[in-house]
This record gives sequence, structure tokens and C-alpha cells, in this order.
Amino acid sequence: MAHILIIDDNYEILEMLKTILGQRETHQISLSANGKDGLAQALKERPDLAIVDVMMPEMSGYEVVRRLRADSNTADMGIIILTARGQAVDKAAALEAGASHYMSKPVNAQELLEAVNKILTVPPAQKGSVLYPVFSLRGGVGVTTLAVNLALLLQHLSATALIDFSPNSGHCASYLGLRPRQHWGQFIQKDTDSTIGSLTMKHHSGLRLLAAPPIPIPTEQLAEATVELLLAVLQKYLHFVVVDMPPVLNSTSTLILEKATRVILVSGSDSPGLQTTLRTVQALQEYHHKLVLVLNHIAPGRQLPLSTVQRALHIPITAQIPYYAQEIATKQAGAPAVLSQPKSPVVSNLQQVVRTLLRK
Amino acid sequence: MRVKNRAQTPVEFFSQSYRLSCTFDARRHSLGDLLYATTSAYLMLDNAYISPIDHPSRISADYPRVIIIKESLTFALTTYRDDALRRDQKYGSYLGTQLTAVFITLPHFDISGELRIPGRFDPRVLLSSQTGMFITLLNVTARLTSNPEITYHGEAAIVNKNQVSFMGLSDR
Repeated sequence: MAHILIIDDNYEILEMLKTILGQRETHQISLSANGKDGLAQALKERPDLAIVDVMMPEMSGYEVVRRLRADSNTADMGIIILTARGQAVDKAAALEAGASHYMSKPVNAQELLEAVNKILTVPPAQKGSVLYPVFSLRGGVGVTTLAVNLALLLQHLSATALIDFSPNSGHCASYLGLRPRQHWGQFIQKDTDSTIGSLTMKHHSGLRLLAAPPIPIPTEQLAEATVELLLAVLQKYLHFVVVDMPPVLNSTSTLILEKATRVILVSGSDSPGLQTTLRTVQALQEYHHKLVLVLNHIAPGRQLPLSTVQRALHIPITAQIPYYAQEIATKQAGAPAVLSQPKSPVVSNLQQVVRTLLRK
Repeated sequence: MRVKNRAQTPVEFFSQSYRLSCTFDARRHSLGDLLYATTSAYLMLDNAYISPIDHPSRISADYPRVIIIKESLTFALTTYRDDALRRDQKYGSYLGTQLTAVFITLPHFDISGELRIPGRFDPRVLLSSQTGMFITLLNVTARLTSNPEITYHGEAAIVNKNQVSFMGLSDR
């Protein structure tokens, strides 16, 4: 059962859609009779899907859709535009505004149900390119571990690629128990005729890994154009792309942050870690709406109260990853927690991060 | 909330500069009946959303009720044929009906469609002798002259004869 918000100034349409979707399909239905209220309701309730009329007084459906897409909390919500304006220009305008689907009135109940079910069952990646960089400006806070585990969790949902963009001999491959025979360094050094796809390695989970070069390379060799091309190719064929980001803020990392759907900002829980995170949040003010903050406890012992940390960082903490004593062992075994300890608190907290990313 | 009842039928009106999407009450009369009626020079319509014709998806104004001056209209477009036909046009003719492909130029638009004419088709009669202000076309594609990528489709259009500059006729 999904939560569906219907925004239409036509009382009969509201009642009809409520009957079709709420009684026949037993979805949870919210109704709104104008664009302004509907937008406020959508931002507050964050439904799985909104069905939006175009011609409404005060605020048109196009404007509602644009504002929902502009808000990070509703940016990937399924949206169907349902309008009596049934011309090709209207369909183009609806999709341009950001609707997932367009239907013209009068609507056929069966077609509507098919469209609703399609949107509700399709992974968010198919609604657009989904790119999740995992990032921290402080090394040693568990960015790679989190990136690998998040990629494995997303792979359970749909085809996923993990890119290790470390220029200093990254570790994603070894954490997954793989040897980086192929890596993106071969692409930029042009010592192979291989395509980008063939440079990825397939983990037994199905996850595709684009590994880092085993021998460190100068960071300037990883040009923005190369990064853009690598991302474009992988995003074309895979639903989710997770990036293990190096702890630097240069032009290529800025490019990735710009293209990101969400940025998973990893913070250590110690004072220096929190200090770096605070400054990073300030530096990334432009991307504030994309940030998903994960507090990673990388050492055992007493921690600062969460409320204190929260106050200091000025940004909501999406999840805390508890200290995980077996982490070193899982790395050595090439078996990340998602695969070796799927019931552990670490994994359940990471699932919370995934739910946040997917808005589920 | 604006109350729309079951008989509220959507229709698109086009003037020289604007696209107007609105609804009309079709319980007693079709749009054809209302437009062809010579007893009134205007139409009262509900829930109107107005767009410039060169930005047809941008809603620049909306009003719960509008009055349309019939002689200023370029054409009206309906999704369904029956919404546009007059009562007498919905039935057959002793003389039979024939469909004739036509191409019409209007201010800012050109329209391709079919004329359904009872009996023998005579364009002179259609444009000059008949007293009605409008003609009805079926299976219509209207194209914005300045931007041919912007097209409108409908099962029927009611075109203001006074706005027609050229009419191309198929000889089939």
C-alpha cells in the first residue's frame, strides 16, 4: 500500500480517483482541492506519489511539480500530471516541469492504475539519473566502508555501480574481495582499447565496480571531462551509481557533487571529525539540500550525546553507524557487513540511510 | 473549490493571440449548438485558463467565468466530435454526407481537417451563401504558423469563417 496525494480542483475527479485508488487498490489517499494547499500537504506528508491537475486557481499544476522537484524532500517523488489540456505541447510541458508521467482527462481507470503501479514499483533511478557520492574531507572516517556497503544494499534493489575515485590506490576492490585488474586509470592513460563498461568488475552480488588504479596517480590526470564521461556511461546502464570520493574538494569532486542526487556526508564522531564536518557543511552550503549526514562511530567508547552533536552541526543526522568491532575482519575477508552480517546494527542503520535516499 | 458537474466538457478556444482552455455545460446543448446559435453574440464559459499562443503551456491568467465574443474567435477545438457537432449535424442526410479534406489558413494558424457536407459539396455556398458564422471540421490538426512544432489535435474544430484567408480543397 502506498500513500497517494491527489491535487485537483474538481470535486468529482477527487472522489473518482479516491474510489479507484483507495478502495479498489487500497492505497492511502490524501486529497487537496488546490495547488497551493496541495503543495504544502505534499511537502508535509511526503507521499509516495502525487497526482496533480494542471488547471487550478492560484497555483498551476506545473508550478506545484516544479516546487516539489526543487525540494530535496520531494525531489524524487512519483508525480502524475492529469489534465484536461491534452495536447502534445501540454505533455511536453508536464514532463519538462518534472512530472514522471502525463495523462489527459478523461482518464481511463485501468490506464491510471497501470501508470500508478508502474511508478510505484519502478526504482527511483529510472525516474532519472541517480548518483550518490559518499564524501568526507577527513580521511579515516569510514567513507569507503560505507560506500561499499551502501552500494551492496542498493544492488539488492537494482543494478548498481560503485566507483572508487581515490587516486591513491583505493580500497573498494579489496573490501569486496576483488583484485583490481581493470580500473579507471587504464581509461585515462589510454593503455587499453577497452570500453568503460569492460573496465568494471562484477562482484558476485551483481554489483559493478569501477576500481581505482592500484598505483597512485597525480590527481590532475583525472580531468573533469573524464569524470563526466565515466559517470554518464555508467548512469546510462545502471540504476544507481555510488561514488567513493577522495577527501579533497577540487574541480572533479565539485563536479560530482553538482551532479549528485544526494551527497552522503560522513562524519566521524570525535571532536576533530565533527569540526571538519561543520566546516565541510559550511563549504558545501550550495549543496545543503542534497546532504544526507551519517555519523560514523569508528572507535569504541563513550560518545558525545547526539543532541549535542546535532546542535553543533546545524544539519539533521540521518543515521548513526555504531562502532563495529568486526569491521577489520570483514575487510580482510573481503566480505562487507551487508553480506557477512546482514542482521547487524550497522546494516540496519545503513538501511535507514538507503530508505532516506529512496524516500521510502 | 470550483464545482464542476458531470456535464462540464473541456474545450480549447483560440483567438489571434491567446489559447483559452475552459469548460462548458453540455447538458442541453453541444458547443456547436451554442456557437452556431445566432440569438447570442457571446458565450459564457467556466474555469478558463489563458495562455499566449506562442507559449501555449504557460498559464498567464485564470478566471472562474469568462465571456467569449464569438466573432473574435479564430476557432474552437474539442477532443470529441459530438461535443462540436450541432444537433442537426449529428444525424445523416437524405442526400448522404461526404468528407472532403480541407486546408484552411487563419491568423497565426493553419488547419488541416475534413469537412462533412450533406449532398454535393459547393465551396461557394459554404463560404458565401450560408449565413452561419462558423464551419465545422473533423479530424483536425491545427498548426501554429510561426512555430509549426506547436500543433493541436482534436476530433472536431469549429472555425470562424470570417477569419479564414485561404481554403485549400482536395479534389477527391
